[in-house]
Amino acid sequence: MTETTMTIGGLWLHPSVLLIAGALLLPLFKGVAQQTYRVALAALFLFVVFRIEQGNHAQILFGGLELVAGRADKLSLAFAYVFSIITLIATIYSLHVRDNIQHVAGLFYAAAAVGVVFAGDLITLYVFWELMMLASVWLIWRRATAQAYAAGYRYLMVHAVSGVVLLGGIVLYYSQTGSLTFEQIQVGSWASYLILIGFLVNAAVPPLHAWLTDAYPEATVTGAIFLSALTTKTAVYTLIRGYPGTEFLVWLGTVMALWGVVYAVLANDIRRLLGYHIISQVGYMVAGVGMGTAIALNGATAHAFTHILYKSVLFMGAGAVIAMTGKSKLTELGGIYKYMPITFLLYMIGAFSISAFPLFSGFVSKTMVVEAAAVDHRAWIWLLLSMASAGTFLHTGLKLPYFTFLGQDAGLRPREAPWNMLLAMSIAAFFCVFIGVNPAWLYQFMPTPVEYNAYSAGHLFWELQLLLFTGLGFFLMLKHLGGEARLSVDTDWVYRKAGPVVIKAVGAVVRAAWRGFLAALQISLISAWNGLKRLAGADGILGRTWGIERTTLWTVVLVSLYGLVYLII
Amino acid sequence: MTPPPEHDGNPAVHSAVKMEPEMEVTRLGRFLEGLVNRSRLLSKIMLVIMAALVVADIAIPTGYDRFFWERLGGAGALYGLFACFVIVVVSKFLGYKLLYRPEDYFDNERQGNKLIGDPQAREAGHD
Repeated sequence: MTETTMTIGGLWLHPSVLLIAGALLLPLFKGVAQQTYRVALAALFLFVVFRIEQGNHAQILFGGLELVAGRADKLSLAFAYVFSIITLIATIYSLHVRDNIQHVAGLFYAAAAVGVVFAGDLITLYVFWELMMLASVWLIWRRATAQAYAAGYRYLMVHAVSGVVLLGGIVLYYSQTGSLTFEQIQVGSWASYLILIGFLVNAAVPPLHAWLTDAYPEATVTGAIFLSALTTKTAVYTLIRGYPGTEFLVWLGTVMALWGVVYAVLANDIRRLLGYHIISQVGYMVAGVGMGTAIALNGATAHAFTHILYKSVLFMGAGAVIAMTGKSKLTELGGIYKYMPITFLLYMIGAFSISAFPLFSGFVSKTMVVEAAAVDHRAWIWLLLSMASAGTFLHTGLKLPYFTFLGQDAGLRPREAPWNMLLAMSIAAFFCVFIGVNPAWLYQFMPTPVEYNAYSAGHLFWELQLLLFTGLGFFLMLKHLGGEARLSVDTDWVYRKAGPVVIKAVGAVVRAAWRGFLAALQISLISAWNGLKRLAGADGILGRTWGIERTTLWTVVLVSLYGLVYLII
Repeated sequence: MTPPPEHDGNPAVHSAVKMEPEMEVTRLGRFLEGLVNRSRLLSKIMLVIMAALVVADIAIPTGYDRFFWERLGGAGALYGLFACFVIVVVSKFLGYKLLYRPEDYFDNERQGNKLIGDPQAREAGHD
């Protein structure tokens, strides 16, 4: 084991440690003091993260293992920056909520996500990975509905299983390579695939994605902001770091982009619709990872950055509607734009961003991934990703706002969302426009220098025509696009419907076999018992009581035999 | 000012939905209402802009020719309409033929699990 350079934890303040310690003190405060404290803590966290210098910090020798808790390079910093921004935004959004458990869980969750992106070794990564799961489930459970408890439990089970798969992969990887450093992992060994599966579950790659759209719509209004930002994007980070250029991820990502779009057509719950568009957007990032070129990896990183910000606007807008109306289904909403005009307009900024309209953030990141496909002459990928882009505008930009805010008046008369919700949405919306207008600010954080120009005539013509004519298609087919009061089954059908039936069937077989075995055992025990009774029972050959004559006779015979044997020997 | 302490988002304890027909509409709300009332005019303006965009795309070469359609003016417009149509038709087809279920489809999960039967009856042996 080589000599370890020790940067003592005290010299390098790990931002996750700061946030966890700060979160533990949170219950000591109440009311306005607590609100002030929460904003101050999140702001301090942001400040600390933005002050981190590149390099390997906090190298610790632990039980013969070299751990690096603070690897800060361009890639990890880009993710840490946006995680810390969203932590502040989500804190402001939830300022009115009085629920210490939820607030502490949210901060632990953010701390764990930042811990994952700074982890230089697989052990540190695994610890923060699991902390993310344990913290985030409370953001679902604190909704305190029967559906939320059940969905949270399923969320926990799926992530617990994927965590074991990841751990198994890490242990195998260590035994094969003797290294725990988290760098690019050579695909081919069992270990590499197990680790990859662990990452893909958290990235919500179909068919391992159903936990997301099952649980996120059931989460608390404010907790969903953390959820929509952190788990899938830390997984994207680990994929960029560990599996760049893994060819099949290109197709997996493209299928993912379209899978989300198809289910978004069928969704009726507004946050489930948005959840499917997380899957769709992460598809672009996964495809970018698969392509593996510099522009593709920059594109995946940039898209993760902008995605977190615009998706939070969308989830905050949908959450504000749910909080103010108590309704979450397209079929029950409509016509509330007059009463919540600010929420409506801010939502639309997020919607234009996710749809990649020029001057909004999605345009400068999504087109980078699509451009990467063009550079590699991947015609099908290019066309399919463009189609998913049209689908994104169709649902997040048109269907959801049309049937929620405009459309037929459902008779709801909600108040405008509280000021803190509007403020949080405004900050995120500001970033959406700022990045769209000034992409250089975003590009400076990318892992490799960006030479890409989003605002070329070709991109502008293609995107604008694609989106505006998708809009035309929407209004032509408007009658068929409203929400339907049904749900659509996804791959969670396997463990929610098929699983119990299979277990019941298997249980019946096992029970019958066990009972048969016991019966057979009983029969053979009884016959053995009867045999013993015949031999040694009260009426058995050996157990019977004999008369005096017969006893005397047998005694004489035995004693004579004994004497005879003794004489001979 | 501190917003009212609401348990966030829980429909069961929610009180914000009050049917008040005279709920106040702000000036911004009135402005948006004015736009919505002029939606016919706005959509005509939009169609003119879209037509101009296609004409401009045909007139101005973009300089990309990695795929053949990048040289064709108006390809984005056609593909946008096509994509929109394909997505809706394919998704709705999958929905009606395969994926749609009634809204109470998963309700068994909240009523003790009927799918795995009754444990007591099972232990008693008549199952």
